[in-house]
Amino acid sequence: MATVMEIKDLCKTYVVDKRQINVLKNVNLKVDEGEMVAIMGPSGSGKSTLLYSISGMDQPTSGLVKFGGKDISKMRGNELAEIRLEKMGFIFQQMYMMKNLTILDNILLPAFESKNGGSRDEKIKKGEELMRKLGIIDVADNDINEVSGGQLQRACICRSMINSPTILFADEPTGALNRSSSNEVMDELVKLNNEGTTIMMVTHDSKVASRCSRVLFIVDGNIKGEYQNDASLEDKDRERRLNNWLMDQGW
Amino acid sequence: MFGSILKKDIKRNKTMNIILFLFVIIASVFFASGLNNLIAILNGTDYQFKTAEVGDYQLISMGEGAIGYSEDKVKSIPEIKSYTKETVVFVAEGNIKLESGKRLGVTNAGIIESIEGRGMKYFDKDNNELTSVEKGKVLVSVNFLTDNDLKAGDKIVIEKGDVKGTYEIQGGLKDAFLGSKMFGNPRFFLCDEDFQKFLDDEVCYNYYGGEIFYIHTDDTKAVSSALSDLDKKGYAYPVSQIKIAYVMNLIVAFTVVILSVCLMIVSFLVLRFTINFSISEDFREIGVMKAIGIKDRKIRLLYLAKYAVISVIGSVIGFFISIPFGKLLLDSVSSDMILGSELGIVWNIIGSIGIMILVILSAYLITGKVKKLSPIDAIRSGQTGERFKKKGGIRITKNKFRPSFFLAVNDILSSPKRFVTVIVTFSLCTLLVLVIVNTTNTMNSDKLLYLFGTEADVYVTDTADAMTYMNEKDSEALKEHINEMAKEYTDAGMPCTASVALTYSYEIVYEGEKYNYAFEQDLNSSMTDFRYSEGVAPANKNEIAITEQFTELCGADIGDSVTMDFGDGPEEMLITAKLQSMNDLGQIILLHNDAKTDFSHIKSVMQYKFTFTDNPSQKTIDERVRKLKDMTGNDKIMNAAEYCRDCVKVYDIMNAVAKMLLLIVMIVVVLVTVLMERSFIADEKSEIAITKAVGFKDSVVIRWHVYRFLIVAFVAMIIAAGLSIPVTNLVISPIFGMMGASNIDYNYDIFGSFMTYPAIVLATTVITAFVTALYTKKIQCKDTASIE
Repeated sequence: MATVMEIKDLCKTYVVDKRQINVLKNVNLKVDEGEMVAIMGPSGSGKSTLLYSISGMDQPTSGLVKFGGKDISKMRGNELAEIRLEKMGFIFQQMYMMKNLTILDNILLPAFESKNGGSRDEKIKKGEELMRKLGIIDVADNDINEVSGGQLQRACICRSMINSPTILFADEPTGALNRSSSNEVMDELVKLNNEGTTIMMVTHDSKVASRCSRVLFIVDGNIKGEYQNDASLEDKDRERRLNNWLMDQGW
Repeated sequence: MFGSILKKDIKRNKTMNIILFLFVIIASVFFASGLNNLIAILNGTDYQFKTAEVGDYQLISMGEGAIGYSEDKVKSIPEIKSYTKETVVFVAEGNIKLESGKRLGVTNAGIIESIEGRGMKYFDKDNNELTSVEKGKVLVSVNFLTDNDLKAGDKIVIEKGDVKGTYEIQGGLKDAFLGSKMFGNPRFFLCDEDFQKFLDDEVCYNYYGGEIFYIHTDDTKAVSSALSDLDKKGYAYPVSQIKIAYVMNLIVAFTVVILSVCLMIVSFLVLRFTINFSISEDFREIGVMKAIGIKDRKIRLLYLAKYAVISVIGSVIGFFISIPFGKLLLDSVSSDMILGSELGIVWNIIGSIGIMILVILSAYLITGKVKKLSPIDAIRSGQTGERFKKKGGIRITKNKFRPSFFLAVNDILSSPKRFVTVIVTFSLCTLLVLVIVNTTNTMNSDKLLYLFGTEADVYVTDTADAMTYMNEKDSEALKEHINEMAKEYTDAGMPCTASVALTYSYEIVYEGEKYNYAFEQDLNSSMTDFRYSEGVAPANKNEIAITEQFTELCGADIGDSVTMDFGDGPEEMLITAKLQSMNDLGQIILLHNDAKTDFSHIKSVMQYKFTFTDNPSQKTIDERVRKLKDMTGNDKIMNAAEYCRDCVKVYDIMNAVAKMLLLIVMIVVVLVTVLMERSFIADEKSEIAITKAVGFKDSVVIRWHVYRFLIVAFVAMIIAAGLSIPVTNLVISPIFGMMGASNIDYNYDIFGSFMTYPAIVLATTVITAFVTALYTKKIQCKDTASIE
């Protein structure tokens, strides 16, 4: 498998009231194409900061973030925006959408901003296909306040996938959802992963993490351990084994 | 605890609080100064005449032996309650010079008098009463100073009879009676000792001396009738007529009224928007407080306290700024008027308190929602229910717009209410500028020419040489003189015919009432050259045309006859037509060319007019005007548009006011755009962050925000341009109407002003929106994580 993302000695430091807080301390990580990686850890351990730093959403203080062979940690403004638009997708815990647009329009917005991906009609077709695939085509013309949280998060997934990104980042994508919606969203993410999309997500939920191929456990700004889920096991067994491992890590 | 919540809120919601604070200041400045100026201008001439103690009827006696001639008659009229009198010496152009010998322009007769002998009150530029002049110094009418580019400290030479003196200008004076541009009689106030030298001079006393009476009466009609046979009387002015002389000033001053009303509406709109906006930002906190059990009354009090503090401090600051701001506006449009109100800055205080109450009341009403909302509704920013109202935007799938433009259009269509404030504000401001520009353009064209006489190619208003012919019995010699001039110009390659407009003063009798009235006669013109609003042109020497003002004065109308005496006994004169005229403030009767006028009744030679017979282009006419100036050394030669501008008097001020208005409008546009865009950015932080997170470049986000302002400003410009024509008619025509001009044919410069001024406002909006939208660069995609 080719490496999609390589992170070397990644540090992120915040200065609060003249006090230096080292949130990420020399993180090293490789993510291969087609992987689905879950980042877990206690609150304040630096999970989200890691996700933001490697996805070009935030600037790391030092270190290297290689994506598609290029160091994106030194990139700024338009260059990063271009990569986020064309190569990366992002799903947030809160289902942020443009409030004045319908669900389909929200999904299509990044597609229409992109110069790639075919004609307008092809893009519309793709947006509708994604919605159909995620089971929300019926709400395509609805406003964002006319759908449930689960539907909205699936719409966010569609938006993140509209430009066929190489990698999808998700910050607690099921954090604001109930169990049934959470399962639906995870089903879709696993499906996308099975189709070849690399996914990195932050989660608190071991059930969610158990559906990923690899789990990273981060404590105090560094990766304390890694766990490979056994795909051959039943869901419940996979979750139990992961929980045991997490308990060993001090979860 | 509430104190600390409030403190934290002021810190946390810094941007919105600062925006609201600035809007309160702006609203207070506009409202307070607007209210004061509104009252001052609406009081207008009444306040000025009352303050200056102008009489109900003014009588000017001039000519040989005028001093002491009229007083006995004045004393004998029982309707006169009281009067004051000024003894004066009249001067003309040539009598007033600079030390260098350069003649200073005196359009109409100038008046020298002593400040100690004043019969009414005069004021300086700050409206302080003038009571003394130092020896060797002179106080001069402000318009004379402005017209001749003079200032305090300059020295002028006054020479009349055998008296010649050099006087240093002590300052300008506002003269409520003769100080308007329409009268244009400059006054020169000396100290008693200096003025006495003129009175001691025999020529000055006997030939150029005169008296001005300020008569207080309840029956001006009776006084006018009683004084109509006073043949040494030069001019008589009831106060109503003086008022009309200030109409042009009032046109200018009314721009401030319109501006003030606009600014008040703008203040109200933006304030309402900001408070609504600011409080909706607070709903989340309100919800949380409700959820933890704090009572509605306490929550409401907390926010009211915040808005009260902001409104009190903002209004007080606004009040202090409103005083110089209002004065600046008023001074710029009424340098020669004594505008004010009995209550003065009390109106500013009332205006500022009004804004304070408005803010607190709005906050009270809007926070009233607190009661109705459940905690969760409040947390949902005041929206009630699970399913909110459907937005009314457009679909990205159904148009070809780029995302930035699509987002802008969609935002406007989805939440039009948010942008109504901007549209109304910008429309109003631009409309105001366009109305004034339309008026100014009209004044600078020949569209108003018919109000000042007949059409010609060249007008000569310096007719001092005509004085030579005034001793003649009739107009034959003067006719010969203008024909000679026409021949001279024809010989110089400018073939033309000449005519001359004269005014006379005659007694006229209608239904037994006597009136002393002004008459106009155009020698060498055709009676059909005048534009009549009703009836047919006088065809015989005993036919006349009147203005609406004459009908209002005595009730005479077309078909009626009045009695006049041209020296051969009373004659019946038939009224055949009505015309519009602004000569002599519209109080004029047009005589037939052949009417047997007598130069002993002449008032003035208004202008010589030349019409080229070879149909030259306007460019050639302008060249010939320059050539004639060189040939004759006379600067007062002008084309039709220039003549019109000269007659209207206030074109230059109006032009300056239009530019000042544009500047104020640009400032308002900048303020509204900056503050609204900052409000939008604060409200849309999450959306900006999310667009960036999905890969939108900074430039796309900036374009999205700028397009919104561009679209709404463009809509506002279209509305303003569309409304400007009916609004100009609606607002300005009544003012012209007061001077006898109705059915004004305005000069709408569709491809000039209608493009230029809105384009300037549009460009200001776009540039301001762009600069303000640069702030969106500070919002980064990672901010999605910190958005609540």
